[in-house]
Amino acid sequence: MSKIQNNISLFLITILILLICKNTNFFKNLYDVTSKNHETRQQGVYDFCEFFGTGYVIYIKNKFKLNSPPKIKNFKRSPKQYWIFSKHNTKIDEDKLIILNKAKNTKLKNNGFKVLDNFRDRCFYMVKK
Amino acid sequence: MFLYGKKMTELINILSHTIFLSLLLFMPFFKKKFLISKKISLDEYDLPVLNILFLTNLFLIFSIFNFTISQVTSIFYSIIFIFFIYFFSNFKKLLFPKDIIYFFIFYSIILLIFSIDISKNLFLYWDAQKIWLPKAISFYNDGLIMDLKNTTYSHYSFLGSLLWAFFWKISGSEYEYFGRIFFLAIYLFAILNLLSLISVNKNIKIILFLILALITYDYWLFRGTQEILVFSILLILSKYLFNLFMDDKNKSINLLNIFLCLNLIIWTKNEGIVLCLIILFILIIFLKESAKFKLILSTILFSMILARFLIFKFNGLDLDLSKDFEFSNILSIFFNNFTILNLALISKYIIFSLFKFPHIILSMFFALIIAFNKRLFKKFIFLYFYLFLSIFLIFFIYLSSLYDLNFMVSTGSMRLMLEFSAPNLLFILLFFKDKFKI
Repeated sequence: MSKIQNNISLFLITILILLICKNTNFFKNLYDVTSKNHETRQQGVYDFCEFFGTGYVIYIKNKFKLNSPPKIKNFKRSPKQYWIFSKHNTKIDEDKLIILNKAKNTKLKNNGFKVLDNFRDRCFYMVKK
Repeated sequence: MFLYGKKMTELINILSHTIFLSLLLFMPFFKKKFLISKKISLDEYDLPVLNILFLTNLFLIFSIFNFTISQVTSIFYSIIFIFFIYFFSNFKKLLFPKDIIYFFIFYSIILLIFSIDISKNLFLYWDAQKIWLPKAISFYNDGLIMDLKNTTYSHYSFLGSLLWAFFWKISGSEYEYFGRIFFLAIYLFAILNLLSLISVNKNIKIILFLILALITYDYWLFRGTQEILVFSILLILSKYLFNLFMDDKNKSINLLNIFLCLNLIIWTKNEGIVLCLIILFILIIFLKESAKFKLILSTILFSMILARFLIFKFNGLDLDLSKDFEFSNILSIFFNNFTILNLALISKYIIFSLFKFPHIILSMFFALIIAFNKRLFKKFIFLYFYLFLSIFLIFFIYLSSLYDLNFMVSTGSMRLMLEFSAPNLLFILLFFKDKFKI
């Protein structure tokens, strides 16, 4: 391979790497990874309290420094969000409860639970009295 | 200041994890001399492929023998430690792939770029949240196979979750996505390995690698679902399937690699079992060997499938392949659903997937060109067989389903198309290989 061909190849390789960087938003992603912590980034890609409720569960986990997962009840059909407590998800703390996506016309039965956080009457965090 | 330090630590962790994975995938754990003495000629990627296939099968065997992830991690670190001693004391005797440093550097750069994408996006698909991550978390917390009873869809194969948990654990990070970076590593490695089928200048090979990475990569593939793992393993398998049919040399190594891949596919997804039967069918038809030899191959594969079911039974896991099917009535359901409307619906989503994944449409384009060349068509007829059977399988799966076809097809067909599409990439490669004699 001549020197010119070699230079053209290297030029093409550089262009392709830059194209990959552009397609994956590499520089913005790199900035985000160095400027936002994992949970902020995680909250950014999920809904807060509309569907999965992942954002709300992360918010509650951080606000109340929860290690073990509270019981989670979602009024919408969605995967259980216990995976957020990945390191400690073996045992669910039945004394704590997260309610997600309660509809306006649904009445909430507290059943001996005290509401510690209420997001727009839709998502709740409660603990046993 | 502390928070900034923590974020930088995460970035350093990503960097070191990608370098570690690159080293793991590129290092020869076998002495090439050992295989050469058995008159086996290998290309630059065959040794690393053997390494990674042995390693992943070994993880599986450890989990079957009820080793926890922490124990496997300790064993792994011990092996790595022994390897380092062996590596430095035998450095001159080891034969490294040609231009390994060159490929290693570009591979690591692309792995890092995609890893940063995963670490930013983080989104996990519904199935990943519901099925695969809970299994990975169970393994991560030193759960055994029998503990999968407590997870949803306990009848699903679990190798992907096991690997997810293992690479998450050895990363030393608390974040699950470090496990998913391994899926990325094996996917990129499978592409590079496939390119070893053509003999071109190292720069051209890197250019082709980058182009393939550019057209096939999408975060959509790495949302925690297992299709990308099946795709990557199938891509590795494709190379050895091609070598087996085109090259008389190395039959035993090619078959060994194919069966190691098949075992991984069986344990990754339940439909992998059917996929393995398709590969076996192709082997039986196109392999120029005696009937006795083919019978032995069939017995090996059926034993592997049987072992999977026995291990599931032994650990108290559900033996059903899928709750979406009623296997006793599968044919009557299939013929009930066999209507023009349903066929059109499935075809529509198959066409959608052609546009979602550019490599599929490119593969189909080259398959069409090759089909008009009688010599090439005859040479690569096994690929057309695979293409036909895999598309037939997709139609069969959906037409045999009990549930709402529209929902099933719209949520799953693209993933199935991607999963089965790996061998079709050979159409592109083989066209150029033949055209330019490379």
